[in-house]
Amino acid sequence: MSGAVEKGSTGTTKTPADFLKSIRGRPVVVKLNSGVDYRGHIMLFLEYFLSLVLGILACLDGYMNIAMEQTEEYVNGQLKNKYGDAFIRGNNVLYISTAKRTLGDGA
Amino acid sequence: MGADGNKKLSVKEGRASCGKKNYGLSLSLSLCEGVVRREEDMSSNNPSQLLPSELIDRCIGSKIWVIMKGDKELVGTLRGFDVYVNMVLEDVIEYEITSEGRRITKLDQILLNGNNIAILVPGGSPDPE
Repeated sequence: MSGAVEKGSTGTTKTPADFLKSIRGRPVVVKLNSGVDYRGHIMLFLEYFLSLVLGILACLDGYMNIAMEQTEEYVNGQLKNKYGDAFIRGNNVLYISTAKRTLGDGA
Repeated sequence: MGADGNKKLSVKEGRASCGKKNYGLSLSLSLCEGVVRREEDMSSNNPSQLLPSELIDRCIGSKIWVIMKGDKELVGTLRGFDVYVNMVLEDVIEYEITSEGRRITKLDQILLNGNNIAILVPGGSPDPE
């Protein structure tokens, strides 16, 4: 495991910590396990910053707690709610994606 | 009769002791093999001794098929992972198996939470779609 973390500094690999660094302030889509999507701008990864203070490269405890702004809530691809700021508790997060995205049904 | 019986007994004992010797020899041989194998493990990469994390590490840069708990699968290029097997994936196709069929979502780059990952298959899905 330590090998994977060490390789994070090179160009070919991108660890979760590198990914979080690269998307801060950028528009993202956060998908929860329930299937609900949240589109918005990432303000903070609380655990990530905590881990920086402690000098640990990996996400501290596997949590993905996120603070977002200009948040839009999508259920089944349809806009249901808008929030100025939102805190998403990390245990619900399925994935965090960069915002460019296409949707397709069937196949 | 009695002498014969003694002879047989002694022969049996001889065999028994011989067998013990052989056993002892084979045991020491196998112990030696064990030492040699362990030395091989230390010096080089013995394919029979592969950590799960090393297997995933070898997949970095190539396609990987992620089967989640529940009816969800993802195929994408693995960019990296951490100790929780949270994964950074690129050019991802997400398959959600629903009663109406498969819903497909294409994603540029994601950080996938490792919490719900069930199985990882190197090389991507056999399904071309």
